[in-house]
Amino acid sequence: MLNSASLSTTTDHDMLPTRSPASRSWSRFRANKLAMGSAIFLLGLMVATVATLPITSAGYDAQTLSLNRQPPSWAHIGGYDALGRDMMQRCLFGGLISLSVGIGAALLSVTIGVLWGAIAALAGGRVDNAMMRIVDILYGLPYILLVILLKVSFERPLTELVQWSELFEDRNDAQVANILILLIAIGAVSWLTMARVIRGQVLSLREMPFVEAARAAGVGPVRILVRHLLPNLVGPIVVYATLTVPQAILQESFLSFLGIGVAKPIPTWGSLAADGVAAINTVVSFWWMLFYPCLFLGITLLALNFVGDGLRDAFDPKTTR
Amino acid sequence: MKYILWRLFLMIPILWVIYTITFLMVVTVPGNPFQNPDRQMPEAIVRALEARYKIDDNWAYYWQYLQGAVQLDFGPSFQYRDWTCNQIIADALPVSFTLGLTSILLAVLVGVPVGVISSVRRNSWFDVGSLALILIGISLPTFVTGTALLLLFAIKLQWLPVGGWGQFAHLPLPALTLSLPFMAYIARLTRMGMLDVLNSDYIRTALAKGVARRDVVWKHALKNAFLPVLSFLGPALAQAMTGSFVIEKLFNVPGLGQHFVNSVLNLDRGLIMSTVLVYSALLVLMNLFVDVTYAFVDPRVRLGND
Amino acid sequence: MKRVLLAVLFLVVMAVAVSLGTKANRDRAAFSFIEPGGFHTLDPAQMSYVQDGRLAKAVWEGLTDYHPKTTKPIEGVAYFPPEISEDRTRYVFTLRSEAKWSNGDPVTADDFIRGWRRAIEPGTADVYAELISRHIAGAQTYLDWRTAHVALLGLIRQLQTGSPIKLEALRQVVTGELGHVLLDRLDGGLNGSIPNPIPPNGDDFWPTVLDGLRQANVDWKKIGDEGLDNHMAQMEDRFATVGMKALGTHRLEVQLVRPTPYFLDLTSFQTYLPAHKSIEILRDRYAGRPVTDSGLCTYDPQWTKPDYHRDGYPGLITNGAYCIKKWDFKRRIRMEANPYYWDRESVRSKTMEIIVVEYQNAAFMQYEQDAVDMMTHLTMDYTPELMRAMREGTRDDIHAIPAFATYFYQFNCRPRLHDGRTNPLADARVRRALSRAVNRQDLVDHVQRLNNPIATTLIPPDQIPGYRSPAGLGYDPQVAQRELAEAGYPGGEGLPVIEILYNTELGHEPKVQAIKRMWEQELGINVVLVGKESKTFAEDMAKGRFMVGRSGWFGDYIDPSTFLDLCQSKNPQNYTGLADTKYDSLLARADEEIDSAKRLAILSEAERYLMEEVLAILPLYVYVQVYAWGPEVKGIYPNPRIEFPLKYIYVER
Repeated sequence: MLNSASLSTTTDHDMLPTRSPASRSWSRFRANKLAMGSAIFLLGLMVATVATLPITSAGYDAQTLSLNRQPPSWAHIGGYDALGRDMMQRCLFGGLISLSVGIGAALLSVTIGVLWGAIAALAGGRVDNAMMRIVDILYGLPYILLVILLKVSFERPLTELVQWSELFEDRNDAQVANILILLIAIGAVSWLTMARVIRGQVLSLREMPFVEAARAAGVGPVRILVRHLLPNLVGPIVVYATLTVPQAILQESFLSFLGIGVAKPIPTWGSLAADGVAAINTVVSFWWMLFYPCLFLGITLLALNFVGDGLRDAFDPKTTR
Repeated sequence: MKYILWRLFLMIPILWVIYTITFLMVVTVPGNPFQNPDRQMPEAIVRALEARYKIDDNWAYYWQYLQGAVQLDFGPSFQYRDWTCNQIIADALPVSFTLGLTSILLAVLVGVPVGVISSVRRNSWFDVGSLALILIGISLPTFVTGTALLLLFAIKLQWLPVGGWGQFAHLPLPALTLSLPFMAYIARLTRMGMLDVLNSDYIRTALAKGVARRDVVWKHALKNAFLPVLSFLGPALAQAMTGSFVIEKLFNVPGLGQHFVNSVLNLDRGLIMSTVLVYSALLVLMNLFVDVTYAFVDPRVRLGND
Repeated sequence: MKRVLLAVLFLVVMAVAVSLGTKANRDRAAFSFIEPGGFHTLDPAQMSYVQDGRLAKAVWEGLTDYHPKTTKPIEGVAYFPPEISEDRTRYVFTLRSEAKWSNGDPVTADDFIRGWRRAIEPGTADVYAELISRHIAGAQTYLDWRTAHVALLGLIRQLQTGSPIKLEALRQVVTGELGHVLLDRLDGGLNGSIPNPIPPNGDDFWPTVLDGLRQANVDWKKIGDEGLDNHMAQMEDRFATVGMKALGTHRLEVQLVRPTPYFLDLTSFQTYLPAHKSIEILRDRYAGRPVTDSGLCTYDPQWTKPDYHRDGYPGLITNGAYCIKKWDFKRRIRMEANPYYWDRESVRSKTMEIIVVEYQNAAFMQYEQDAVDMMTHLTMDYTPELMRAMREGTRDDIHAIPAFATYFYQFNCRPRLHDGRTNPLADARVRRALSRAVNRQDLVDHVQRLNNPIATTLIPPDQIPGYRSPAGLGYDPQVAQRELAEAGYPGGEGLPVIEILYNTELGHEPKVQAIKRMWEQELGINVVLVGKESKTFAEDMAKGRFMVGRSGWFGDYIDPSTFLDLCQSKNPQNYTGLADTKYDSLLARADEEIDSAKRLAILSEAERYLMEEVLAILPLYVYVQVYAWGPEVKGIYPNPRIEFPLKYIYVER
């Protein structure tokens, strides 16, 4: 939600002695201990998954078959999975993949959503109407069906495209394509809400005096979008993007549960959790195969949600008092 | 009301467009629905089957299926050859209806009060604690929360059956698991809405006038804060009724959600399209129901101005 | 607000009452079990899944049955043994007069002919048509004749309606015997003949032909109808040449293509079950003719429902030990003992219920909660732990049954892959190297963990009496590395990426991952996993779009040919693309050999050649099926064919 207090104009010289809205939002965010703590945790986690990459990129599939299903010990606190692979390494590598899919899908949906909503709002009239009707209709299609349809239809062409591009080693082509198609499928189905929100924002921004002035001065619509509108849209964009990431990660976990998520042997938190659930039984406990992925997944998603909420509170001062 | 009739009339072109989009996507999926993973069929027989089910000609199939759909005849299933789509959907829909409705009701009955209370006692232990607990609903996949509930109530305590459908005892666990993500979202929406309203002049005036605090919170503030929840309920109801494939698999509930997934994986065109049409029709109806209720609740809203 | 909530509450209560009340089954059947796979179809001519077959054999009965303990053929509807001619190609079965359908009608020879015919008629014929067409004289010819005509008529009908036509289909018809029917209609130009050599697929010739046909001034409907009538006029005479005849109402004469020692095993199989005449009510008709407009024999697929009554259909009528009382889609099937079954005295459980649960874990938990008496086909991750508990004596209900089935991978043996790349696996040395690099014992001990016997041959050893299995190739990484070097890839250098195709359901993933690592470590090569959903996987395998493909095979009858035919070059089930003349000729020689012992020896040599030199198949282990039933369940006798005739099973309470 916008109000004049959180707007920024593009006048770089700020004559008034007050701080810019951006830094005001930032200090509000900093004051929110929960959100701040979560953000620090997330940063730490991302650093950890990348920093351990030299080890985990070889270790995530290092099978010692005779060690299968061994419980945790002091040396290997994660224990081993069904193929004798170190669970902790798989969780760390899986975290990298999960976060990549989540962030990638969020970025994709943000891009499409912002462009769609902004263009609709700026164009107005019949174009706006048509574009929003399309959004309404796409809303009417079941999410999971679309994701699966997209994946099943486009995975092979995408694999061929990746092979042709020669960007990766031949043996990694199929896996890259597989992760990409999931990212694209999830992102391509998640932009609808973003489009609606952005359209709403741009509609109210359109009437603001500084935009009117820019238009009167003859500034082109693209420049209006980029220089005048986007800075004011940062709030909702960041908030929704942050909240889309956990959704995307959960979507991938459901697909893994059904067997059509990221392809083995590449782990994700979702697929590790799904495997852990399949190992649950009343005879013998393999608790570590479920516990660690859920721990990582749960805390990360909670953190993402807290950060998202915190950002929302920070960008909109009305709700923080 | 004229508005309702207009919206119902609009359903027809909307569904038709959805049908077309889905059809286009479905025919681009590679693969043959008549293929068995372990044995192969002679080419001529495969072609004969395609001709029999009339999927050899996409354009003709499009129109023929549409004609059938309009008369509510959704044709045969290609995967489950002994069953028609009508039978499959008629079988699964009441189950999903019950499950979905119950879980949304649960979500509202628990989520709203929690959201209200935590907005009133902001940053207290209750606020953070209850929210965290509910947020588990959106930070863990439902197959994990469902398994945990199953282990506790069905296996450890043996209060409820492990799964299946047909008696009242089969309802609580799947409904509770399904309700958790919605519960979390509703709690947050309510909390946000309440925080918004509680700061408004309207509320401050009421408090100054001496209206009891409890009434202010639960009657006046909530009535306004409930609106965003209400508009969320429309799509939520449709999603709960049809998006429960994980719950259905885990608790062996014969609902509609599994068919969304399985029909695509089985390349069962007839079933894909019939489930999409049913879902979309449901969604449109739910949205209409919610919009009407919205107007009912908030007299300031006038229907017809979009 | 309150009113809205109350309204919703009311709706929920209504919905709950409505949906829960309807399908509840309060009384427990005398015997109930969980079938995790679910049922695909109940039409015996179309089924191919084990659980479908199990149900079909409980509800129908064939000429022979399986003995519950030895699985050898015993009497069924027919007296045992039948009359067999000197040269062992002619069988005459005498049906017992007390064998009746579930509506009291006597079971006749015509009922069997009707059922067997459905298996080879285009429209109802499915993957198991070959069980009839390869063994019964004249069946293959009839099937081919019918298929050619159906293809032609189908094409004519597509020209009639203007539907899109696949050029490949056009080419197959035009270059076949009936091609002249179409070519004669082309206005001039071609003079009714095809150039020699025949233009391949994709050549411009074919679109020209298609255009010519479309533009021809021809009444396709008339041609189609005339052609159909012509075809039908000959159909019964043609069918009369197939080796199945009714000599009176209760005598059935069968003529085989060649002496088939396992024929009486086949007659118990679901494809050989009879069909009641009421099914004809639901036959699809075109303008009064009992076929579709392109000559297909098809039926309303609802005929398998007990409560379907369109056009006066009496509902499903069967002749076996049980009748289906109720079939709730994806939930349960309820059966009751057939009061007209001739052997009803030996049917122990008068009611039976099969419950379908898709998710393995959920299925086992339901079994544990004592909702059912048995669970078939346990494939949970922790099944080995259950087996251990059984061995240690803490459980008494887990049964591990080594099956007449092998789990293996198939190699694509064609010189080129589907996308034109050269196929590194076309070289048998590479295939042998890959086979020797797999440590099957490790796989079985640590990954599969069901104490599976490892397999170095295609056929599970010691299961066919009189048949000696070859040794096959064992785990030998040094020889593997050496052969790989000889093939031109020392240390794995230069070998293109090897792809393993598999379907992502049903627990194949751990094994695929383990084998990938084994190859990477022992041979230094690069391996990629390609996991697909079952349907896409099946299509890819069938079209040869793979390098190494996960596979498996259950023997359908006790004879080596059920496995060895898999690699015969003309067999449509041969996904490997192997076309080895020596192997084919060995199989052909065996086909002609009358002496049983000599025949088995030839087949043994064929398997040795296949599994030690050609290596089109990479065998891994013998399937072990795990079932769960408690000691109170009687009448089940574990056997490698996993044949558990339901009529003998009961619970001692």
